[in-house]
Amino acid sequence: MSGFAPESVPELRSDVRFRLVGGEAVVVRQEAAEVLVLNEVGARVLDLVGRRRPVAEIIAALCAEFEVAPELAAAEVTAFLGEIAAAGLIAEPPPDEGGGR
Amino acid sequence: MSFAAAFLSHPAGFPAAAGGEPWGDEGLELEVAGFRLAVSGLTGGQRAAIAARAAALGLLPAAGVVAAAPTPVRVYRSAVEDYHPIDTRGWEYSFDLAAEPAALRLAGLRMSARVDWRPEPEASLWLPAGDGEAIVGPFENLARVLVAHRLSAEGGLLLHSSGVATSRGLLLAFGPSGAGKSTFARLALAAGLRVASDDLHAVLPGDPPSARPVPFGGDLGPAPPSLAGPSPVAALVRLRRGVADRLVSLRPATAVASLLAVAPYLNADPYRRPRLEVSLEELTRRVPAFELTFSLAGRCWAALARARLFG
Repeated sequence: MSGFAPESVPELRSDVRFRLVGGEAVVVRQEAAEVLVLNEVGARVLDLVGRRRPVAEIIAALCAEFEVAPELAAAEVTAFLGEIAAAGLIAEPPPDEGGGR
Repeated sequence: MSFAAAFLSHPAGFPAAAGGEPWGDEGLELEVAGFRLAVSGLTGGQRAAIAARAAALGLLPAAGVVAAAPTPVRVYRSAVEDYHPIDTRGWEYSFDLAAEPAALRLAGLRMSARVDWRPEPEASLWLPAGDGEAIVGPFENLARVLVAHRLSAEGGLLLHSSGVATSRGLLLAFGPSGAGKSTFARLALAAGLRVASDDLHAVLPGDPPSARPVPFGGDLGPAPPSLAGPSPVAALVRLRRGVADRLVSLRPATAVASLLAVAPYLNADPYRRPRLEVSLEELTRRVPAFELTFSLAGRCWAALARARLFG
């Protein structure tokens, strides 16, 4: 579990830039001089993160746009946020966020 | 490590502006990938060294050809003590770049340079006393960076790539170091095909986009005269070494990301990379992009022919 609570607002790291190309995302981590590509779903999540949307809203958007069940969307979004946090694209949530509730 | 710390004894003393003691009062003009450079402040020996290299690479402008205003490159003396001694045995050549909105700074092995973009681009190159005749390498490094930025201003870019001539124009085979650009070029030559460069091409926007080889690097020497100028870009092909030959289409985002990684100098400049990304997006809209897995058997041409990239 990634620790991103539904009300949390994930934040892009300051050195991350991305551009949507053909529905996917070309992501540049400037400090690491690294370029990544995210597929359509990952691109949409990153786009919503860039717009400072809370996790719950990101999940709802994916449910609507990709016709996926809410429970699956929630699991996939939180797992994906954990992956891109580990990859240095977004900040890790603060320790007390999504923890002891 | 901070900018220039690996090369300069006192990085904080990096020249804040153009200026200094010229080496001499000689100069010459060169034309690199369609851009004219006017080098000044040279000794006779330095001028001769650059001129000889330029002549060998076909970079001396044709007599009587009027060109747009050249970019000035002024060469100055610096002190030997300004530079760290570096044991170059086993050292892989590199240099530091630091981009700012209005300037670019370079520091490398016994050289430092800056380019100021406003009001008009101008470059300065500092070489330590005793290195006068060794000007060619530092000058070429600066020239590549200058050309990349001049291209950027016109929506173009440099690409680490091999360029193989087809009936439709140049097939640009790209990839990072070790991807097989030079090997691919040699396979092309062995198959009777013409190769523009196995190292670097200048790509300019257009309908269709065009590309021309940029000299200074690579193993094959100057391009054949018929390929020295701009040719249409027929295809972009990301190279992978493998045991079987296979060609697959690249999705636009993957193509842009792959090309971004091999578009030197601009991809590390946060002020110019956004424009580079736009240029790459436009390029991949107009030119098909593929990944080619190729073997040393030299049979990749069949895969390329099936995709109508040859013929």
